[in-house]
Amino acid sequence: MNTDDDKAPLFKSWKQWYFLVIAFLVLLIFLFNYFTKYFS
Amino acid sequence: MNYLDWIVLILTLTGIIAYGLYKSRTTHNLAGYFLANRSMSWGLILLSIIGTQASSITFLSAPGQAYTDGMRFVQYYFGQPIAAVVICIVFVPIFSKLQVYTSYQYLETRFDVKTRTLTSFLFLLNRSLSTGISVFAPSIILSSLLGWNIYWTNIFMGGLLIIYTMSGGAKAVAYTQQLQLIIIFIGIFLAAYLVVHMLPEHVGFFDALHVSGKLGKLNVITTGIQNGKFNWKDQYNLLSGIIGGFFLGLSYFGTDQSQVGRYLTASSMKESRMGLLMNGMVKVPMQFLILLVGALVFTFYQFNGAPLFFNESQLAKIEGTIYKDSLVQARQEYETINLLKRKSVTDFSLALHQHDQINITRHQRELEDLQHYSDSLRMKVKTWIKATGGDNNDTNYIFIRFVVDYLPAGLVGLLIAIIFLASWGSIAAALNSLSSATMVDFHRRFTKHTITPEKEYQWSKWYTLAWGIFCITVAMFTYNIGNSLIEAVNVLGSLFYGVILGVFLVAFFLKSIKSGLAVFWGAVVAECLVLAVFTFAKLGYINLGFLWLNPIGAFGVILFTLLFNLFFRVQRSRR
Repeated sequence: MNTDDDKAPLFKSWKQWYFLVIAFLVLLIFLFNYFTKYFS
Repeated sequence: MNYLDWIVLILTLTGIIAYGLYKSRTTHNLAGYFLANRSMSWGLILLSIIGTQASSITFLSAPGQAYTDGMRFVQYYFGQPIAAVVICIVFVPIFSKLQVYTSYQYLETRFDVKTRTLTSFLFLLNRSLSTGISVFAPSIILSSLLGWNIYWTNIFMGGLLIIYTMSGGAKAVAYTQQLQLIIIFIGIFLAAYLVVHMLPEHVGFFDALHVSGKLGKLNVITTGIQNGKFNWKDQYNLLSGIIGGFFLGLSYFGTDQSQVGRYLTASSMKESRMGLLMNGMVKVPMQFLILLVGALVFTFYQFNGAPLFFNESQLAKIEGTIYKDSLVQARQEYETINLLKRKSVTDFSLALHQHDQINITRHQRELEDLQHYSDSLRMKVKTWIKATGGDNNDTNYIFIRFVVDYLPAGLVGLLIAIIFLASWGSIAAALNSLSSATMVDFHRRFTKHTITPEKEYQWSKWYTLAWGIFCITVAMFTYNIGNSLIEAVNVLGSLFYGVILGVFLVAFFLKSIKSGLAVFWGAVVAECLVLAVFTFAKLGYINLGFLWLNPIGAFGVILFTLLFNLFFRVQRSRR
């Protein structure tokens, strides 16, 4: 495995990717909560 | 199944085997066989990670779980994106730098051979048993439903994939998983479309969701708080999903060779990280959609009358017992409830269209009462089945029973092929990882004479075959695991994952711990603690959901390692 090629694609750093993944999870939880309440 | 179903089934399965064999060409050494010469892109890794985790159990059990318990099971996956981030930061750079074949190799560099061997052994134990269940789970369902011989079904379910897994190793596994997942998603999408399409004309997708939601099946987010207190026994809620799911995810994706082996095939660290992060983002919505199919099937049965018990073969067994007359009466009562439900749910959906709030509330209450009544009848039948020694859990039969009873010819064959393909994807990855751990952590590590790369390659192929036979043998002896099969595999995983994770956490974060002896005994005692807690919970002495076993195991290893380390230091200073 090539350890030199570790530049994050699309973003400047991997930190921004990590933030995106966690933010997406938080967004999903909010949407699911709305979904649960809306249909119950 | 008619002849068209058989043609679709046989063509799909032979197509996958042929494709696997076509992709089997690889270099005759361990890097080629176990790591596909570290050449994979993140897209392939993503599909391989999904294909390894999502077995047929996922596609059979999850819709049934939504039907019986609602969609809250999705919360179990909430910890996985967080785990993916931690693995990208901590685990991937170390595994990449050391160029390991198995994650356990790192533990020898960090501690000693004892610790590496113990964790690799725990992995082999857990993975081989759970793979046995993964073979048995879909086989028992298909054999009960279609009258197939269970032993032959086990052999086809766990045996045919060995052909391409043995010859092509990690490369064949990854490429077949890619094709398998495409077929699986097409099939599931078609099934979901047909569920809605087969509802009465005036009932659309959103109406179906309203029916399901009003009857408590769209409970995606639950807090686990009952009567003002947090219920520790509650299996799936936001807190247990995030915390318990995080530890389970960290252990599964960070230390289980069946998953580590997938992203070790990456051409670079960037590809490994992208595969893991994308999986973190895709997994929760994917699981949500699979569960949604189950919630839609629930609505479908409100209009079409659900069976009293979805595994008809179990009902047939109690017909020859003292419960025979009671069963006849229960069937009649259930039929009456189904008729009332049909009328009530039709009126309810019409009231929804007319925004008639009074009738919406009235029919919702009616439906709730009828649901309560039908649930109590089902419960009675389950008690009779249990009393006569049968399997009283029909969760895994719900979706496939719907497929066989209602889907058109050809599609039934495709859905059954999907069950095989989903199984093959995860079993193939498991066999590849079992073989790599056996070869690298045991055979190569403890053999005194040098083995040529060609010989190592040949041995690895034979280990793949041997583990395949072992898993089929486990499947032959598995019987009546009780709970939902998806849960059985997760419970088994939780017994070992926490401890394995704990060892890695000590290795990564407690730099002051240098003693392999302290970690080894810390892991042994923590494993005993996990098994004891599980036994007490099973016997009803404590209230605890199985997901909590993961943090208990992980923190147990950390705590006992610190204690043993202190003990050994005091002993040394006394000498």
